[in-house]
Amino acid sequence: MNDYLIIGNSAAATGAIEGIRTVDKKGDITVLSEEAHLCYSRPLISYFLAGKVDGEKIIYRGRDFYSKNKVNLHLGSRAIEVDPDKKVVTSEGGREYPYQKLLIATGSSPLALLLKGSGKKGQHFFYNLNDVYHLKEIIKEGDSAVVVGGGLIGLKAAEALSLKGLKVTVVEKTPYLLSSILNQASATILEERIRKSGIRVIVNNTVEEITGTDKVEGVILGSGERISCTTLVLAAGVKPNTSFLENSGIPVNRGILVNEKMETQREGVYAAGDVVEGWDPLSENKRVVPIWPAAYCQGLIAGKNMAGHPMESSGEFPRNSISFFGLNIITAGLLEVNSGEEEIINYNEDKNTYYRVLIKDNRLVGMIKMGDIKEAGVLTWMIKKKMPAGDLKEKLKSGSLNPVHLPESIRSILYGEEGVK
Amino acid sequence: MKIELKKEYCVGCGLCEIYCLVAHSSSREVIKAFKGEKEKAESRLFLEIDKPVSFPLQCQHCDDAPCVRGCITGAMYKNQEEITLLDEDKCVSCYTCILECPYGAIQISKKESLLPIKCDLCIGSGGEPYCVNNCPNGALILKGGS
Repeated sequence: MNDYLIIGNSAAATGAIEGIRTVDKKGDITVLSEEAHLCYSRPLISYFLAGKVDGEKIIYRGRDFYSKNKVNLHLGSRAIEVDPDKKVVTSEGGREYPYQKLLIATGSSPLALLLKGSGKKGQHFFYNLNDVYHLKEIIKEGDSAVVVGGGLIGLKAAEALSLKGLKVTVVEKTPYLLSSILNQASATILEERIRKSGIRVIVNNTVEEITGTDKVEGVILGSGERISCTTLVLAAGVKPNTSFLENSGIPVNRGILVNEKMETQREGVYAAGDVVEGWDPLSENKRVVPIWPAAYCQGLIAGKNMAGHPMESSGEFPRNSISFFGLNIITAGLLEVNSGEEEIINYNEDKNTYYRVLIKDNRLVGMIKMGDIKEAGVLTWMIKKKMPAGDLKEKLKSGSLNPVHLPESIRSILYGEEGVK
Repeated sequence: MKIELKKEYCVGCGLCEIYCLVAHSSSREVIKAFKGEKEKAESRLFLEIDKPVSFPLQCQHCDDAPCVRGCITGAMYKNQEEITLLDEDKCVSCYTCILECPYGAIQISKKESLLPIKCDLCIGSGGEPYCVNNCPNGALILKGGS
């Protein structure tokens, strides 16, 4: 009998292991990992492809993490069924793992596009370490690559391929890049940087067909244009890995539904990370927030609760820090401007900095900082804690807000007991 | 362990920044640190003034440090004394720590490395933090630890 069974071995699983071990030093922890790697930093796969980090540095917590935390790690072991009544997880090959407390941290998978001509050699996802090992084997300087999707994953793939000397084209179906985290004005600045770095960007268009016999030779776009390439990267979004839960009776919407303790609606079963649909305090809805910091924190909270130490999540909202060819971008919170929301924008063309915050009901609810990301976390905190921002509008317009500028009423909270809770 | 700020005593003189730089220089002597070193060191705290308020932005070494929890590489960590530190070899300068730090206490180095820099409580400099020892008004106080 495993006291704690964890399915998945990325950020949420690591958070859970560390959470459990702050409470329970002895209980048996078993981790089932579909991938045959120690927990590695998934966002670093583009750095790995570009040669900026090696196979050692990409490991998240070091090789001795599992032994130090007395974790039984089962690599290459994919869970195919969960039975919350019998409290047993079955892995591929039929092995059964009984548990007391279960954490589902199976993450997400790239969306498979139904493209005409799919299934040829040279066609890749850009999602896990194996994808990059395969890419590393086949790409050569001077090759041409097409990346489908101008989101976070697609653009990081494009940047890495470009740094490896490939001629890269990005095809994005929406009118602008990173449309899930940027507005059009900031996306235009990014697009210019990316074009200047040698990547061709095509928006408002789709890849309709992959040409070639057994190997990728090119693509045909919705516009009819043909682009020849030997490598095709599909990065058109991700979806939570929940299909193995179909017969489990664990309620799943887009992701697994959890409460503020990261507990599912079945007793003893918790979930964390990209696979869950948790509370977003900004949109005031349940949603999937597939980002690394949220996954770690949700895992930590799940782990503590599993070990009997009550802890609640105040929810997670989207936030990202990312850079492309040296252009730093930090975003957080809501993006769309709806009625009753006020936008403050500060764009400095000479310095190539863009800044935009969104205020709703006197509260800061969204930010984009580009070029100059200094003190961005102060805004993240203001958003998270729903601090009043009405009196700070003049400061916000200047494009810089740090704790010195805050009124004492807010600053005393920031530096007080509840500041970072 | 952290440095507590008595901002009512801070007059924004800037000695904390100067001595922070000295603490992180190779000579740890003020004249040499500013004039005599090949690569000038940097301060890891950032004095901000918005009159009449002034104080340094400085890592609070939070118990539940959002920078550590959010770090995508595992480079930001807590040592055994619960001091928040950066493993510079592991860091890729993604700046998720800057996204997460509510104090604006992590900034980008002006050196070529572009690493995030922050207060390390002078852990490699021996003794008490230089800013605490050199604040003429006693506005910075070391709390906790031994």
